[in-house]
Amino acid sequence: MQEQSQIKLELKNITKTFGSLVAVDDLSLMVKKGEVHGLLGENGAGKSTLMNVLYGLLAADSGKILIDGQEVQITSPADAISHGIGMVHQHFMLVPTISVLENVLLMLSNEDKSFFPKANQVRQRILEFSEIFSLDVDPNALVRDLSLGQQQCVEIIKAVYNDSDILILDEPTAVLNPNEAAELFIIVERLRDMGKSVIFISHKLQELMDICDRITVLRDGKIIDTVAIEETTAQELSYLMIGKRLNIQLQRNNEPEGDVVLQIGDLLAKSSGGSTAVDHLNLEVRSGEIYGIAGVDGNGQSELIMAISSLSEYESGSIAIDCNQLELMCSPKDVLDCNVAHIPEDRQRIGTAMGMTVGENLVLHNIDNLEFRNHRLLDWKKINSYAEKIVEKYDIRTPGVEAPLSSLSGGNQQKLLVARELEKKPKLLLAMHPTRGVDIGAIDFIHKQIIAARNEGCAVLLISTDLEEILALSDRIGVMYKGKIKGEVSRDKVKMKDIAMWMVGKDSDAEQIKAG
Amino acid sequence: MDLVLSFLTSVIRQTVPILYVALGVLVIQTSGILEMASEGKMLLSCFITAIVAFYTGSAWIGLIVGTLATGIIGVIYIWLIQEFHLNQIIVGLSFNTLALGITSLLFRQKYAAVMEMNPILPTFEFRPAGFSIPVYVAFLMVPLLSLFLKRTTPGLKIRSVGENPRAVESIGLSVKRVRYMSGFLGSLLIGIGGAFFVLGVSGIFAENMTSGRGYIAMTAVSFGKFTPIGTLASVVLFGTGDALQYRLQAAGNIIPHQFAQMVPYLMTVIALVVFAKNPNSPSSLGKPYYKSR
Repeated sequence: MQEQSQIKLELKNITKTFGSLVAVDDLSLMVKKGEVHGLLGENGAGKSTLMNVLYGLLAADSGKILIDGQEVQITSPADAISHGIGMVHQHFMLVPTISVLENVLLMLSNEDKSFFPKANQVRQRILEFSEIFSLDVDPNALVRDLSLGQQQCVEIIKAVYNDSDILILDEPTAVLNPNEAAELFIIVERLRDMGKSVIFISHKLQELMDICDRITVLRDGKIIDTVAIEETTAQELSYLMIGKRLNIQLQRNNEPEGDVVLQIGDLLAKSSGGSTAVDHLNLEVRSGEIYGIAGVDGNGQSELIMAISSLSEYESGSIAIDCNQLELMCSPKDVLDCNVAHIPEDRQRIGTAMGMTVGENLVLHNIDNLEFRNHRLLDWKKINSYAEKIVEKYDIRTPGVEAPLSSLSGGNQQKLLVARELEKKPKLLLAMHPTRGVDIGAIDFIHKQIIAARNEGCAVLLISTDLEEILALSDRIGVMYKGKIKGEVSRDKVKMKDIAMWMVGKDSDAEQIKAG
Repeated sequence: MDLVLSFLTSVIRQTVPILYVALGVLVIQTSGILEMASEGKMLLSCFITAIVAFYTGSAWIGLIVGTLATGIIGVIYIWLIQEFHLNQIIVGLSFNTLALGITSLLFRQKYAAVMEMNPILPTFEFRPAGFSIPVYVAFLMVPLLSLFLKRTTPGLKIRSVGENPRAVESIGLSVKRVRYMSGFLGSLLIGIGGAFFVLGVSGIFAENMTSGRGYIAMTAVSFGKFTPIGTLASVVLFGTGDALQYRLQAAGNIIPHQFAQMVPYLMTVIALVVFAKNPNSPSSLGKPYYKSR
């Protein structure tokens, strides 16, 4: 009986599909009163979809929602609010051109139908909330003038204003800096102490371990397990989340190094601002080798890739790919014709066309290929069957090959990009931040694909700010600092200390001794 | 002195109809609907008002019926845009063409023949200090509308929907309902503008009698940086140009009348080019809104 009364919210057998994609699959969840309940899962695991169903923004195909043991109908956010559910969305739902006070008044206009809003009363209440949670919010400030942390405070005030008992926080730390995140955690703890139930969605393991009482792990729209925080470890959770242990030791054939594929001599390139970004850089990448460039962002990495792929001009120096000397003003197509694959830094802007379909994106680079044509006209049957083959092979989760790319999760968009580029069977792969903003499962998959390309003899130039990624994949590692390769070391001789020194522009100890 | 006074009178007479239409466009655009149909709505209002006023013999009944009819037309217009997600520019422009065609056809085919040519319409009788009531109401509307948009709940909803419809939906309000409301209220104002133009300014109905005043009103709104006061200022500027045009024509043969007629339009273009930077327009203006499902 005691146990029963503690259950605040119960979701029973919720199913939600988008086309043929099952986003949430017959899912049941229980949240207790006064607990912080974490929802952990990769991008596209169904966390946000489930919460949007609970908040009435999406209509479930089937299932029941119970609050305090009573079944409730939630068909719009207004229903959710009236049942005491508040939500802080991943992308803030604030009107930027009006004041904090007006944003709260707008929300209240659901209930309060009076022609002139009760501004003074509400302003007083906002100030009270600010005091309780030690928030720094001026009711009269325009939302657009606030920092992201302050905007989140406004969202929290909106969510708790109606004395909501259930609070949904969807990826609340995604836009916050570490200080702001720490402040958010204090607020969440205070909410728990007030007896409210908080649902905290995240794909960051550590922060859930820090704040939650129990964590439910989602994968492919299903619940894998719900665990109490005292009874679990980060490893176990990460295992539950991706369904297999992370494979750090990747299988590599130690075949002898082949011919030089990419040779860069004395390259000088300027940034768009006009300052020197790549400063007389020399570099060689051999066939069957992954050359990893580590370093702090903004030390000329972008400009280096832009110069090699000829997406921007460079000042002087030589670039040769597979023994073809590229001219200074050659077009990006000349580079691609040397059988070069490119996974660019910004997949949404230059890597893919978000409004076009999955199938179209997979053949974009290769549209002249007669394989996709019938009497020299595009044959969509051929293109789509090719796309279906690739989607299957690379496990790209999509409602179909005719769905727009923008309807896929970030991880699947990146998998598609990797699939398209590696299907060229390239001689040289330029990969920049290939796993940035991508969930763990997709990271693992992309790493395996890059290693597989290497094992087949592809030369890979990998640029990443993620040191673990560089260390896991590279045969040789170079650290870029102020446009130069500050230090270079082969895989078997890596010392973390050296890399750390090079990254801040200092010489490693060994060299200092030599010089001295 | 008399000359100045009669010039000012003429400015006010030219200004009032455009001011009503511009304030109506302002209400609609603030909610994020690109109001391209003000020209057609104004012309339809002129036509309906003229007929009703002629047959009833009362300017006031004509004004009320013309205004309400325009309000209903405004709701239909919003319905087309919201339910079918049609391109707002295309709907607006075709609406204007349709309005011109229908009013010209009906006027020529039926009423012009029946009523002989150009019947003189009834006018507003009660004129304190020389102007009829709608003139005073027009200028009073400016602070009232300011208050409505800034300080009332419906005004807050209209502004918010124009800026971030998704946020409005996320707190359980209906984006569509707010836009129907702003479409109706705004079209009522446009309707008054048309009705006053035909009864208080021209006194007769003529084909295409609005001749671009609806577009000028639209320009005035963005030139006025989407505020009622700014809109008033730009409308007065255009009205002055219009009045100047009549003066120049009346002045005789010094300037060809084609050039004189050009003045208000020329002022519009120059104002747009010079002042159009940072128009402060609502973020969702003209973008179709799809509810998540």
